[in-house]
Amino acid sequence: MMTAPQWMVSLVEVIFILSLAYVGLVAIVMLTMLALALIEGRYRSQQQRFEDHAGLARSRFTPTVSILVAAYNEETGVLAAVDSLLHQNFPEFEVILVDDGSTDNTLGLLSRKYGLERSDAGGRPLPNGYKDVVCYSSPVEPRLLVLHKRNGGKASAINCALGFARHRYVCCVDGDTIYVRDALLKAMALVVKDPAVVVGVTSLFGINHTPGIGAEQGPHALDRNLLGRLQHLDLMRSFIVYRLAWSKLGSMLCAPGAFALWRRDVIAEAGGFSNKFTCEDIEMTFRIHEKFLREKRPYRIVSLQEMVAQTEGPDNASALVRQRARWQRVTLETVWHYRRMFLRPRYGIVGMLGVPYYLVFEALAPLMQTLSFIALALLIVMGQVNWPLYAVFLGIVVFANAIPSTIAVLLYDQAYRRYRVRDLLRLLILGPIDLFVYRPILMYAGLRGSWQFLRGDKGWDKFVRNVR
Amino acid sequence: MYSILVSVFLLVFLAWLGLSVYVVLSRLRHERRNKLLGKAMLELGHSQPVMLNAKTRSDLVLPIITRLPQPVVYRTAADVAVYAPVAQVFAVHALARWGANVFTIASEPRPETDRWERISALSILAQVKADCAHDLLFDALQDKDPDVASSAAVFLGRLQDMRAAERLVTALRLNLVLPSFIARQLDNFKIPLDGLLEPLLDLDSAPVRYWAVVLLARHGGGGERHVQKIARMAEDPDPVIRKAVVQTLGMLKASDEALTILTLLYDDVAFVRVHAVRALGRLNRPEFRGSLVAMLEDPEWRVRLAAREVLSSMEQPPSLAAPGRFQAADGFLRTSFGGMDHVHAYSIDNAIKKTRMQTGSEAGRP
Repeated sequence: MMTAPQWMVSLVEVIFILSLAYVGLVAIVMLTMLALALIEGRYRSQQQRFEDHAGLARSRFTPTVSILVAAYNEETGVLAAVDSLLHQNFPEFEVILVDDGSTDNTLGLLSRKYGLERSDAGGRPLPNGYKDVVCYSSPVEPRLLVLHKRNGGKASAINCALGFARHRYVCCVDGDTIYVRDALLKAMALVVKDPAVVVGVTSLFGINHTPGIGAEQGPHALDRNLLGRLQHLDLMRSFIVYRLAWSKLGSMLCAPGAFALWRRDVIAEAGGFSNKFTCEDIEMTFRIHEKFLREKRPYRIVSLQEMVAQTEGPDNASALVRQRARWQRVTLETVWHYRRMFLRPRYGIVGMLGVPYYLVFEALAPLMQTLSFIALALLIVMGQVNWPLYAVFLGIVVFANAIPSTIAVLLYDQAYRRYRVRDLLRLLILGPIDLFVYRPILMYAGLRGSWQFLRGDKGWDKFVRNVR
Repeated sequence: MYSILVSVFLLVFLAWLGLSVYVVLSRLRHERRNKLLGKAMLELGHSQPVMLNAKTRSDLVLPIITRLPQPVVYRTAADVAVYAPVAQVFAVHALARWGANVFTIASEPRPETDRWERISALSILAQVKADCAHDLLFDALQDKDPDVASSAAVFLGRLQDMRAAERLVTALRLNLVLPSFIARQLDNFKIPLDGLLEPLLDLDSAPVRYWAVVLLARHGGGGERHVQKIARMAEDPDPVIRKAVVQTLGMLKASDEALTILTLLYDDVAFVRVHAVRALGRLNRPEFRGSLVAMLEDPEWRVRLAAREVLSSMEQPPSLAAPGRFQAADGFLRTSFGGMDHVHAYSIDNAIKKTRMQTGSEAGRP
């Protein structure tokens, strides 16, 4: 055992106090979130028992929707994605797919399947900045409009589609995701309850090695891949617990690009999606909150607790790290950009709770986690670790960390009953494992993302799709 | 310190374990009930339950339902996902077993946490078409809780009789529930409602007039009197009403009012012109082809697009026409919802123009 210099002891003490305060804060916030999620989840699952979805699906008064798909090198999944969108159980909608300068056969596949022909998009004028866009229509599927443009990033692709959209609501989706038949219907069911106020809806989507399997009604199949299952559980936890709680508080700060339904005039008024950020989705959500709160206009952005889609997640740790580093980077970019909302009463719950939460628990989490590992390393070097005490503390963290996952599984199962009992058990057991297998990857990805943010990186790091 | 941490650990571990066990047990209990429901379905016979009368159906599955607790019976009776004949048996049973309780719950405003119990009770009364159901549902329509009010509207819509329609029209007139919600129910009525809707055309409230015009498209029955009255509203200062007028005239295929539709082709407001184009298309008369071709030069692209779609559908034999939903008469710019009007929907084009849409590769995607 070595004798530690005084500075090291002081450093460890500071880190220890900081970590303890952080863990305490996490515990308080987590418990509050869990309570809110339980209340909101129970309310939503009861509400959907009485929801008149059938009436909405056949009514001529149901608001119409333009589905906007941004596709870049999506030859693996684009046909299945478009097919799932065209089969939406919804009275009137159009699908506008923007091929954002793909270098693979995305456009060729679409052309072959839908017999695309060059068109003038029904005389729709080309939006400003998109004069080189080539439009294709399908004689077999008049609801589909395909646009081909130079690669410009996802925000640019969605803005282009937005310029062509004819309906009052737009639903931004991904070109590699398979949507369940009622996805649009379930989202619009929330809108029609209060159309003057609900300006945005998002929802949960699952992760599967081969999206589409079990995506429809009936039992959901869990991914065979452990990493896939852990990502799926992570999304469940994030959407069913945290976003549902934020939704209840009126502070839902991220409508992810895989499924985000917006009122079109709101997006246009906000100036369209921005290319200045790594991801356009979270920034748009922050921007709309900021705009409406600043202008003191009533609005709500809500999250469904239902799984509306399945997408493919990275199936190896390195791809996952790249993806999550990008998520961390965009979180930091957005929180930094909207720092003016931080603890400003003018921005209500968003400013006083939402943005601070993002800063403390999303943006700074990797830093705090790393600090606690450094403290542990120093303690080991100094021979100061009380291993039995540490083991008990670790046990607390393991099971406390598993509780939100368990509540997510509980809420989802009580509402939909779609997993077989054995799959439920698997999901429950993954809760405690998560800390050892999944969290370290996220922590590393978070650090990498933070470093990339500090360096000003803007890359996308798209992971390679599985061959289906 | 150690003993405190151990206590905390045990607390957290037991909380996780308890929750996990609860998840599994509650699921197993659900599975068991589902099995019972499956049995009930089998007893009823999958294909014939509709043909049996409610009493026979109830007698068949009574031994199974009596084993279920009250909340489950209530919930199953009201659950829209449950096969309708089975739900009806549950409703009949609930009423037979807890009748007085059902009435009490349905008639009294409940605290927010118990709202679902009231909604279930209202659903049960609506399913068995109890005499008092209409009045209780109308009371519920006036409830401050939007879930109770909107559910009551849906249940009244399912009753499909004149008494229910009267109450829904009153709710529309008094603006009790979101008008689009009420209109959706009224639009599904199979019985003619023109007698109820026509007086609404004379009211001062523009939104009520709007909904009356729109609903008469389905319930007007082509009556000459309604058509003329609706056509007279084509000069209404509110463009949303002018849109509804032209939409309804098109849906009613009111050839005698073609002049009104032709006039609205040159309305100042683009979305009115869009619907005038579509209405003219619905009349499907070759003599109006020239007017439709002229609309291909309209300054607003949505009007041009509508004209193009209509002309293309007129050229095709009916079997090759575009799918119905794409040609739906209500079009892509529909009814007003909660204060957002169509004028607003069009003004966003200017906002889009202001958007700085960059085609450069700033986002850095390869």
